[in-house]
Amino acid sequence: MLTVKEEKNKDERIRPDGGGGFQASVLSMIRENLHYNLGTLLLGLLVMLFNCPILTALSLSDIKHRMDQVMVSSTAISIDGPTSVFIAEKISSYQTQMTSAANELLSGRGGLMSVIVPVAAILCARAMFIYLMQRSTADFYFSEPLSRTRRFCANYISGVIIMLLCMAFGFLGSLIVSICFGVTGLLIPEALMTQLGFLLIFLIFYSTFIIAMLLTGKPFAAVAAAIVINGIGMALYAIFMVYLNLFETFAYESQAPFEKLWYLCPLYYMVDFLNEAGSRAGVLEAGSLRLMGIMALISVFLIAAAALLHRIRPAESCGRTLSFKATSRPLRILLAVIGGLLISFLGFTEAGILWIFFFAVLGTIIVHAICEISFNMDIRRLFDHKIEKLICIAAGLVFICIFIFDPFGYDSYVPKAEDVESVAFSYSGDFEARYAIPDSEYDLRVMKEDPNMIYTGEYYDGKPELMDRMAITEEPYVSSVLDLMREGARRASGINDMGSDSYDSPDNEEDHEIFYVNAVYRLKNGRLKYRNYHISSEELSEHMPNIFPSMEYKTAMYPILELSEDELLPGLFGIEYKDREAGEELQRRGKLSGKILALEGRSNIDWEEFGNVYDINEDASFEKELLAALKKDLEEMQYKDYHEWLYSVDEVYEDDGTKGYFSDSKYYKGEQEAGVYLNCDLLHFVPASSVELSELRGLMTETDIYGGYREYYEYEDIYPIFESFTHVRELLSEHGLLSED
Amino acid sequence: MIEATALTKRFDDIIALDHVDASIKEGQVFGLIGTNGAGKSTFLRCLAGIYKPDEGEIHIDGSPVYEHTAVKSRFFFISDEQYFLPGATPLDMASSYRLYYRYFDRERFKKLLSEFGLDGRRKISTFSKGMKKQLSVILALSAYTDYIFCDETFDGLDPVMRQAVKSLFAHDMDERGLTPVIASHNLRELEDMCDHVGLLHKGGILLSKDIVDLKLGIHKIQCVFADETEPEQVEGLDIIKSERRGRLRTFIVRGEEDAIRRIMERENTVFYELIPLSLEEIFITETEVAGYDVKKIILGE
Repeated sequence: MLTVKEEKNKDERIRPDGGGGFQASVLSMIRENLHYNLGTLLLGLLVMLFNCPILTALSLSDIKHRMDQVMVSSTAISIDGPTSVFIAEKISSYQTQMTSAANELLSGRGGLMSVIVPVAAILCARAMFIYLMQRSTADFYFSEPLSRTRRFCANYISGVIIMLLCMAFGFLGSLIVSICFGVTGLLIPEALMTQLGFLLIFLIFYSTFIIAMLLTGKPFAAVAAAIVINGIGMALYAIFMVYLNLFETFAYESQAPFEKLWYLCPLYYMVDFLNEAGSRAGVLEAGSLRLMGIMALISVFLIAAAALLHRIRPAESCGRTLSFKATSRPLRILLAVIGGLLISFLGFTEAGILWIFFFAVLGTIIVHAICEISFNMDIRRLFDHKIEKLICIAAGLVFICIFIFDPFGYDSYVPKAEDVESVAFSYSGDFEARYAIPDSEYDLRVMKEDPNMIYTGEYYDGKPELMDRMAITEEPYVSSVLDLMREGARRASGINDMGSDSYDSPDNEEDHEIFYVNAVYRLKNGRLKYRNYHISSEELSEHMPNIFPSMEYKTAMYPILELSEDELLPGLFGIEYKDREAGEELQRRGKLSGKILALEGRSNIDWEEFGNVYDINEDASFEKELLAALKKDLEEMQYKDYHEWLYSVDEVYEDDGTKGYFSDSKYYKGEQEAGVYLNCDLLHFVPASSVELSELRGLMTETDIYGGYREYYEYEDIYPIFESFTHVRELLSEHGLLSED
Repeated sequence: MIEATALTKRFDDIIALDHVDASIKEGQVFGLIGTNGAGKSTFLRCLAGIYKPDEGEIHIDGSPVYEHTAVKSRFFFISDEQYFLPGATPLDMASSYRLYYRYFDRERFKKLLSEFGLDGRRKISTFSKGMKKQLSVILALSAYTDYIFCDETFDGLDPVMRQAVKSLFAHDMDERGLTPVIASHNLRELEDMCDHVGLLHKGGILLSKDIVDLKLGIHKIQCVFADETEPEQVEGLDIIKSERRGRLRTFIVRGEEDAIRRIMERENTVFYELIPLSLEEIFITETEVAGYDVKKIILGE
């Protein structure tokens, strides 16, 4: 028999306080965690080694190699003149590219950080909290003389430290490599801020996966829970978008509130952050900082939620699908209803709405049954909770019916005039000539001062859209607009009453042409309502004459009406003749200088891009007069003048493949791009701000180094020269530029 | 002292512990015996603060256990499903436990390791099941806690090791008043080790007695009556169970030995003898009384 000799004095063994009040320090627990998860840490470091220093070295050496080649060539053939300037610019461009690439990789925006962060979150969550899934480990950890909160803190922090070590390793690696390559202009504060953003994204993912593990007791259930948590926002958004589109008058802008559902999805924060960090303004801009603030708050909330769940989660949850029995029913109902509605998408065919109902019912039953089986791990429980199943089916069907039969009158909605602050609208058959407005959000000065921005082409067009510009507030115009919209609402609710055809396009009405009319009502209570009506050409012709005289409408349609000539000139004027031969004749007679305009030696404009357009080769005073005349004619323009010159073109393909087009309900052979056209001579105008913007943008492309033509297409306005445009016509006639001349 | 009052634990529809009352005094070995699914492990997990009781309370020296760190530092729980940190050696485990148990004695741990013939630097994952059990016991003893809760710990230990563990427990009980609480099916092992047993059955405690009292309070009588007397007809006997093979009657009765002998002396018997019951027989008898008939299970009677 084994005998044990005890050498110590008995008194030494007696513990007066029984060991109470002693807890291991979080730091020592973290050290222990890191020791036993060294594999995870090493894996992370290895991945970061490839993603950061090695990738940086590869990228920079590639650019440097190309730059060296240019330098060697220039040294070998001793070039002077414009080409030497080009080579200098080229080398400078490569240096900028190296700085840009180094900054991208240093910040983490380059490489695979967007993949690494979620994967690292999963691995860290698994490494630190897998004990929640096994009875033996739960026994081990929960019998320790340690509070659950302390255990959670130690393990949570350990996971974060693993990620931090990996990120720091990657950052320092990229930094050292960049310095070794002699890269200057590294944006360290921006890179650190972006890394902080990635850390916040990691915290969101990490906490989410831990919560998924806490809510479940089996690895497969934790994976499913993580998918549900990440996908619930997207699923709800998809459901609302698909079903809201069943409303005849649903407008794209109305989805804005539903886009907030994306914030339920942790993945969205990463996408949003990458967009913000990669934008022109960069990560230090207010928008990015605000987003990071939101992410920090969400991280704190998720950490607190995870800590609470860890504290209250029963240890016996190991091996169960769900940790908290109380979550079983609400989760089953939620998943069954959402799953049923998602599966109902299969029923969106031409075969009719019954299929939507069929797939919704089938989907709900299937998803509910899957929940029953997986929650209980027993296939015999397939049809448990029959009443609950019926409730889920009923909830799904009620949801669908709300969108199909519109009991709350979404489609028939038109506000009362007294409730409306202002109204704006546009319709599909309208001709757009609305670009001549200063770019309020886009500051040319910033662009000029930031060569990096010019190089990368990071700019955005901040011109407010027509619907934002327009605000009709005056009577009787507001009432007239509402009268027009009532026609659309009447048609929409009529279609809805038919039920089954509710999601068919109303273009099928053969007796008259149908236009899509977007309307936005800004109500006095501060709310915005968007609708998209279908209105016939007859209805439009009936109501538009009452609306057209509104200067608020015209100013929105033609922004030059409220802009001074200082803001618009010197611009570029061109003229497009409906009769091609007339233009050529005027050019022959020397009235027109030609299709290409020399722009004071800076560069050239090719009106050819726009078809049969000629530059008006007149002096500055003529431009002023022309602009004033145009404004006057636009102010006096009536709807009938406008409407009768408008025509649309629809492209068609014949059976043999040849092209044709429909215009004014007649078929023509030949090729013409679909769109809305004005059946008259046209005045093309590129205002001063657009000229300058185009000049700057031109610097971004290498073609301009060799001298090329500016593409003003994006910046030009096109105005009609109607018969009623007496002021413009008179002026053009005086200068012999009228086609009839 | 450990006191459980109306301790109840449910797992969905299953009641694992149903208003269990138990009292475990310090300085004695408490054996927890019971049928499969009786709730022994659940009781120990409640005792170890792993499970939170649904109803009732469990106190160690007047303090509740669940999430009570000071109380939890006074016991060491050896689970039936042992866990060791991944890739750890016995010495690593000792270092880990030192973080949580203030009085963990590394020297004693090393000494016991050596005496049990375990290599402190070998990975535990390469250990046999029995060696892992030995290691758990060594860790528990080195932690110097007041209580050690063992769930099926002695199953898988060879007789020599079992004896060694017993003597270690005895030593610590004597030296520092250790209180082991041992749940086991191996009643023969518990019999010569426990001072007190608690018999759990279907989530409830059937009996909780000192083992001596238990043995003294229940006896098996074998006798042949001279006449046609049935044991049930004998006045003053608290018969739990009786059997008949020819004229030989075997019956189990509760009561003190002297009192039973006096009663049997009065009867007209050809012979009778009182046979002491083993703990296993007591367990089977008591559980049969409670409706857990082993014969029915084995023979399908």
